[in-house]
Amino acid sequence: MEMTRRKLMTGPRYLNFVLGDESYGIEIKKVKELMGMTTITPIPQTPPFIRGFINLRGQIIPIVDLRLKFGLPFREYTKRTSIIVVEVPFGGETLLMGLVVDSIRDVASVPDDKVNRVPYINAKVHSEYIIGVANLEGGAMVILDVVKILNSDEFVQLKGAEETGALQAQGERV
Amino acid sequence: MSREEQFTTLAELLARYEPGDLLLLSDLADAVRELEPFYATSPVCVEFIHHLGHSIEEGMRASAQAAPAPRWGEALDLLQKWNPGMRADPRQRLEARIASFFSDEPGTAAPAAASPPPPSPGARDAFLSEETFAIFLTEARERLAHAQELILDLEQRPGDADSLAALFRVFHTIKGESGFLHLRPLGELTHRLENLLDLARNRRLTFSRPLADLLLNGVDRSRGILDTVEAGNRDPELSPDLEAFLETLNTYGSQTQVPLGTVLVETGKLDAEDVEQVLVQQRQGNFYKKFGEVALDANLISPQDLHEALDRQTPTRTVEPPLEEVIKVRMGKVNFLVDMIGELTIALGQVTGDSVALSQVRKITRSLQLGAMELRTDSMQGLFSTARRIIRDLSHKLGKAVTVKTEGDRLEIDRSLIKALEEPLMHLVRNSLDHGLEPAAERIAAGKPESGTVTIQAVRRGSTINVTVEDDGRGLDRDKILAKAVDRGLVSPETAGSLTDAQIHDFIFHPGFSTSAAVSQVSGRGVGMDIVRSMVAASRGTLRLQTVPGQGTSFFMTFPISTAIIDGLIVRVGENNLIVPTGSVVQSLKLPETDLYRVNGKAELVTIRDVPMPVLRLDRVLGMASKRQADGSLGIGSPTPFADRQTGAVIGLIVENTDRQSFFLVVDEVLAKKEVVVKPLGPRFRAMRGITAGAVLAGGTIGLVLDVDQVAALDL
Repeated sequence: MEMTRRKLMTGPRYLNFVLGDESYGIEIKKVKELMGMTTITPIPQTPPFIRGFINLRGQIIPIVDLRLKFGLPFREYTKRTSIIVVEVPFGGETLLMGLVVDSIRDVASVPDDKVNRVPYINAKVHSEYIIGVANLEGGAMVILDVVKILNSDEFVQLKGAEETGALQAQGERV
Repeated sequence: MSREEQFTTLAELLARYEPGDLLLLSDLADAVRELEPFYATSPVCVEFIHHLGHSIEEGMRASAQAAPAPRWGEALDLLQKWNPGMRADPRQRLEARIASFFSDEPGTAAPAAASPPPPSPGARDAFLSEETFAIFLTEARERLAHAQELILDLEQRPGDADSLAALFRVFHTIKGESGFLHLRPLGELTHRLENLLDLARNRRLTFSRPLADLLLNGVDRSRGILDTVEAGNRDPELSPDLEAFLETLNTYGSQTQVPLGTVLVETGKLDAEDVEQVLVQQRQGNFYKKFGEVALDANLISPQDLHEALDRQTPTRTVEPPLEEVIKVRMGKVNFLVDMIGELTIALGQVTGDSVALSQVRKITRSLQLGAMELRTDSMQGLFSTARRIIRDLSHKLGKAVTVKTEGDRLEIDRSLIKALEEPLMHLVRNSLDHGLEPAAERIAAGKPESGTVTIQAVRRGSTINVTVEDDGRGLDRDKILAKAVDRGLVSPETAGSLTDAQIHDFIFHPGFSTSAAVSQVSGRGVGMDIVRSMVAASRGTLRLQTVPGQGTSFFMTFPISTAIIDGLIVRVGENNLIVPTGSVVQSLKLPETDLYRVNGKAELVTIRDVPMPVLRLDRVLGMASKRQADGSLGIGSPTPFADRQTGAVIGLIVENTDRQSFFLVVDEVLAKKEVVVKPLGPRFRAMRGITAGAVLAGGTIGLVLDVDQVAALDL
């Protein structure tokens, strides 16, 4: 009995969350904390998936809406919407950012050999953002490369803001 | 990890738990399970551990809106009580309680006494030692820096009795501390330095340049010893080199003073052997006691003998007020405190009311804010002091007389910037002395005063810190630089002719570029101007120069302020609050819309008090309108909030950029004038037009700080 428990305990841990009707995971190492919804200040000159700035204990950090990033329709935020604060490297520094998702499930431990790295065709997410898929009790968890996702776009898009908005309105992935 | 250490970890985790901390729960569950091996002989306990781990995981699943931590603390206390060596009866009773723990109603289980596991004794002593050394090192370094300043001051003003006394105290204190930590060489060194100072304050020695040199040398050597201690050597040895130096100190001192021992021998109170004995004892006691005291303790002389002998040497025992204590604190703790004070200010801003108590609270919070800013910042004094020292030493070494002028000693800037400034500043200073200033003969021939002048200035201008190093030396030789550049292949001879002076001067920032024939020991330590520039750039600063041949050179370093309080006018544009630095604002006013007119069909202007100026509608210029439009097309956000705008009227600010050109910024509302703490937006937002920083405002919204120069320069 001990041995099985030990086995389940091994393997890197992932924060499991829901977006639309899919279950996703990101490495817990990149997750700094979870917080509830708070005042978001819109930022000009940014694409729609950058929702704005929030105040995190005195630090100003941007909020990224993953639904919009993946081309899903926007869902209004409520008091119960959670923000995942992640730490990602950028140009030699480590930056904090908040991600908005539908809901957060739990933390799952998945040994590396249980992660299926065969290219996964996902209608919503670019394959280069996917590290692999893990089979959990509750279903498949698509493990995302959060660093790639957040570093793939310029946050400040001067002329392009309107165009990106128009594209996203058509359900295009950006 | 031992069982007790595991419980300590568990206690820490529990103490840190806050609802929603999923990660901590996960760690907690793991940590609980790791207790299992210690309870292998008790199936009841093992079962309990599994149940507890499971319960914690349930807590995880309920996450984000988790209930407060249930009786996990109690459960762990019960487990901790259990011991493999327990006697049968108590063991059975304990196990019974454990077995029924989860089926009990919450609150009915007898509360377990919380007993923190005792730290292992050996570990604590070792820990204390480390901490003591760390504190000692910080304090000693501070004292030595202080000593250095005092020595430099005294060199200029030898009669300053207070500084002399203060300097004496510095070495005296370090001597005492070295004794406590058994750092013999440092003790000996500071003892002799203290001696010299004692002579000086008793007017048996004048504070001359040779004395200053000796004392500074002593300070340097003390630092050297501190460095070895920091590197791990807790028991440094007295090197032959240091011994020789100590001798020099002795000789210098004895030139003008008769040692107490000799006086006692002269007056027949002691013989030579006794003196030797006392000296040995004194050394063994780490020089904690003076010669006279040791002799007294050894009953070699009577108190009256001592008094008489001392009378032959000027007495003066000054009362020594304690030096202000310096402590070492982790940067993170300071930052947390400063951030929380900022939060307090914001939260307070939302409290309405005018009661006496409230204004008292506001006053106190204001003081807290100022105090917090002081924690984050330090004055330029330290850097200037180091620069002065370098100039002094170099001027002697190079045989060039130099006068130093500093401006902005009291300027307070962020500690991290001070750290980043040190190297580039010192390189520029060395460079001025080495290459900039001419030897005396040349200066006189050019009609300049024999003594060269180096001016270091630090000033805050708006949102930047400007540090300038200026010399009145020979200036840069344009032709020589150009020749070198052509020689190095950096520019072709043809293009060479068409370069501006500024472009030619810029060549000195090229790697490996040095027009001095021999790389001098002084500034040529393989560090050229290119390195200085990259150091400055690493802190997001810029380095420029200006030079006039024959008159001198000035180097300008500019750094953005990362943390600052600025006074700003808060205005609303659309859904955003913008902060316009009051330094740039001339006036805020309301005009009829008809006052605005177009020229060439494109640019919008307005004439105010006979001055026409461009109109900048911030909503459009900053891209806020387009963002709202883009969001709107996705069904996000509220409709354009122009509901409260009066038709026919336009609200705006007259602002001036650094070139003193006026512009009229159109906004929706002018809200307030406030001092705000400026925070960075981060590197992802560096490309934003017109906005360079943010500030947390009341209510948690983020105000965007406007850069008037950038906005004014926008291509409309």
